[in-house]
Amino acid sequence: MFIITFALYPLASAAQSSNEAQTQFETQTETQAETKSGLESLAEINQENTFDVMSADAWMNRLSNTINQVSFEISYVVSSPRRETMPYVWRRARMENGDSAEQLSLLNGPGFEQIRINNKVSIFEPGFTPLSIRSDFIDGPIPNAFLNNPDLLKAGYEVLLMGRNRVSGRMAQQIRVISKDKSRYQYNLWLDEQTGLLLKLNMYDLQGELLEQMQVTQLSINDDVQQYFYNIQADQLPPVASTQATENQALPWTLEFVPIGMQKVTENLRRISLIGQPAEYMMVSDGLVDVSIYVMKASDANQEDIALTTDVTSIVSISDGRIQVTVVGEIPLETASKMASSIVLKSDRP
Amino acid sequence: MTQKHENLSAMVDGEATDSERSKFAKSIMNDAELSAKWRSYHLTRDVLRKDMSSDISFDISDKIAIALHDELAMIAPKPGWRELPVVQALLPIARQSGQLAMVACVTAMVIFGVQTYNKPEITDPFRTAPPIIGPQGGLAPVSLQSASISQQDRMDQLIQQRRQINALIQDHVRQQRLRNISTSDASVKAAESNEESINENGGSAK
Repeated sequence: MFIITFALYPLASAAQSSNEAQTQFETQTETQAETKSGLESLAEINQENTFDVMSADAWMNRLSNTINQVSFEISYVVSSPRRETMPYVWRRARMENGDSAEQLSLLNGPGFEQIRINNKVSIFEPGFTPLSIRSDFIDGPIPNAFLNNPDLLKAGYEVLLMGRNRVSGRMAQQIRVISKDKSRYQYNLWLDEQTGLLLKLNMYDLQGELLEQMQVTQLSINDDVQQYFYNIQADQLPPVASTQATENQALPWTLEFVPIGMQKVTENLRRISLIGQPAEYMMVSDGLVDVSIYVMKASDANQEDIALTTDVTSIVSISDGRIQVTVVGEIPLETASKMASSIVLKSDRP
Repeated sequence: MTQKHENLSAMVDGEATDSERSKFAKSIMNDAELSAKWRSYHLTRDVLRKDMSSDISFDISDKIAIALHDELAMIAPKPGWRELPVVQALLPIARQSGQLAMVACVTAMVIFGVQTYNKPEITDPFRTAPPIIGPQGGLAPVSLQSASISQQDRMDQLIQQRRQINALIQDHVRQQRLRNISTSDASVKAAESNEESINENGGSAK
């Protein structure tokens, strides 16, 4: 384990200096060392689905099928123009008894590690007591919709095949994901032609500026990954924290503008922890991004409107002196403020 | 002469360039008249801006000395007068009154000085002052004290605002996680039975 971790540091720094030539070489040698079993299972997947090379949906489905059926270890870095490059290692294995095991760990700094065995995700975060939650997937830098559920994209996005490209020294298919109403960030994915796995993922804002980039530096499809998970004692993992989901309650207001494909997921009346202020809360989602809307009583502190963006997350808060509406989500600022100002009382609606 | 004063005025107003300043600083130090002007300009500016510190002590001693000197020169009898008997008799009175006059003079001087310097407002328009830009009526009185209070308020507001924004972002992330849980609720039952088998397997695998 330690050897792999150490080997990653030079890779991460190489990718940071956008000197991809070295990493490409590494990827090539790694992937050539695929074991027979890995290739066999890939062949099975390809046989199972009558694969249409010209269909972007087929490529996306192939990605999620591959991820769910083979054992692999992928190292990747996530970089963005204004942040440090973060290296991750991501392992996933289909165990002999049919269990699905997955691990994602951040390699820089004190670390952040998540281990999933079936639908129990254990989170190890420095400074917090380890806890487990029930979830079918690990919430990492790569959106879940891309990896596990490409059908979720259909409501709000167009998935387009762009053509072949060379990424990490391998031939890849470029796929573009853009929102139907151009109200959300857009993505470019590069999928390995041979294995179907994700090699690169770029996220752009509406003006086409690069916001975040994920780039694979090492990829190996190998049943040996199982060995790693045998070392984890499932009974030693923290117990599942009992989380009580708040019951949904109908709220007296609604949004006149939501981006195409976004649907209401939750709405309730809650007390915000940390500040202890009650708020009417609504979450809308298009499967790829989630947006939270908070309506609370305006206090002295928030008399003025706020519009902030931290790389990808936008926060827009508007107030009429009586109530304050705040929208938080990974959407462009323009969309967030449009949503915030479109709030209406249901009774006012014709 | 006027050029000198202009330079000085520009310097006090902070309008002089660096090179001018260094060149002119020396001439001020060497020129008694200029250094006196320098002091008085600064004093005037401070009074106008009302940022005269409480411990300011304006030096009027030299003026008093000059006044005293003038007084003495005026009342001092010319030699020869004293020989006259009438004058002789009057002399002590004259001396006395001279002293009185002297004291009165100093008092007047002090009173005058204090009145000049402690005048609450200068009502005459000050011609060389730049015109005030912006609204000129209906402004609330501004003082150092109230400014710092409103600044404090603003800081508190900003901190509170930031706290609230952070809380909302954290809550957003938390809600996203909770959502992931709820989407997998359907498979919880199946997992529950699975988990037991994992625990057994985990033990045996080790």
